[in-house]
Amino acid sequence: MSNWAKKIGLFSSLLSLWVALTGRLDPAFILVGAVVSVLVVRVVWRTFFSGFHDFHLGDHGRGIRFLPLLCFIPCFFLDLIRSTWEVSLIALRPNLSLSPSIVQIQSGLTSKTSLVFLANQITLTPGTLTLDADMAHHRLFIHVLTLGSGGTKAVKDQISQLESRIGAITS
Amino acid sequence: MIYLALWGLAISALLGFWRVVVGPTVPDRIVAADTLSTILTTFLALLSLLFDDTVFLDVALAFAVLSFADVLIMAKYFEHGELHL
Amino acid sequence: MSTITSVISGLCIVFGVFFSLASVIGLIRFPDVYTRLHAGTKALSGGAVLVLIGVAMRIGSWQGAAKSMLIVFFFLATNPLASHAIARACYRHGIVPLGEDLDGYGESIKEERV
Repeated sequence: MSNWAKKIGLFSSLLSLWVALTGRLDPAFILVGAVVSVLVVRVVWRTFFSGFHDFHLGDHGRGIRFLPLLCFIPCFFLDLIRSTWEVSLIALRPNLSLSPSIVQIQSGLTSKTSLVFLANQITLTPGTLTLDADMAHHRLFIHVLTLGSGGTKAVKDQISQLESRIGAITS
Repeated sequence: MIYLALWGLAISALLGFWRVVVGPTVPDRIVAADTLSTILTTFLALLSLLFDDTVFLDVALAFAVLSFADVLIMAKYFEHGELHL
Repeated sequence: MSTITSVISGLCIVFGVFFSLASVIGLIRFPDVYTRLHAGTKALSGGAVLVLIGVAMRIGSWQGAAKSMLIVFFFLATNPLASHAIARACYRHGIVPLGEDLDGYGESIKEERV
């Protein structure tokens, strides 16, 4: 009966989200919300939860730790603002000094979830953008906007720092 | 101040539209269209401040979801020449 | 609304609009698709996130703020994905990036195709 429990949990969370976001308690509104929630549960169930695609949401058995996640969010916002600032500085500088290149990273993270998370983070940190991911060999190919004097070493150091942060969350 | 922000966003949308028109290759146009959709979403959020009506935020949310699907489909079509759905 | 929130949200909105303008200028000035992606993804998502946070502070009703933050998280999750899809499609379509390919990305794709 765990399938039914999952379905009812999904349905009730969707319905509570509906009530919270519309902010009205009329019976008619709640009825519309219930119909929409049932439709969403039906559509989503076939895609993600039935095991039809052999696709696992998250890594079962290894949870997400919440304390490192809480520490991670402000770091992440700072990184985002910094990367935005740097790219706009480069864009507004009168002479463009770009030296783009492609770097390969051999990642130490092994689970799919954390690799996807890492690729997302790499795109949002200054100067780097994920080009392609080789999930089988845990390799990421990264396009670097300005390869500084530090060469590939500096980029790899920056990314291993990110890696250790993400590893603290999902291990 | 909201009017100033709206004008700034409108000017940046116009400049982005210039890249859509000029862009030498197809992916340039895709990138510029993605940029335009993001600018339009923020524009809608600012409109909700201007008219003091949260319905614009609903529109912005739906528009963000649709534009994401849009860009994914365009990229996939560009990569394969057809859609393998 | 207190003065402090008003000032902070105003600063957020102004900086967000400034970043949007800068990223569009970068979109026009940068030389090839991949560098344009840098401008169009990172700078723009930062700008949009700042503007939306400012809007969430100012809007008054907490439903509006929740919707605004929902858009923020949606942007943070999907903007890198979209840029990744475009970059990958460009490379596999055969558009050669400026600069050098340091670690043999082109060869690894060729191996995959054979």
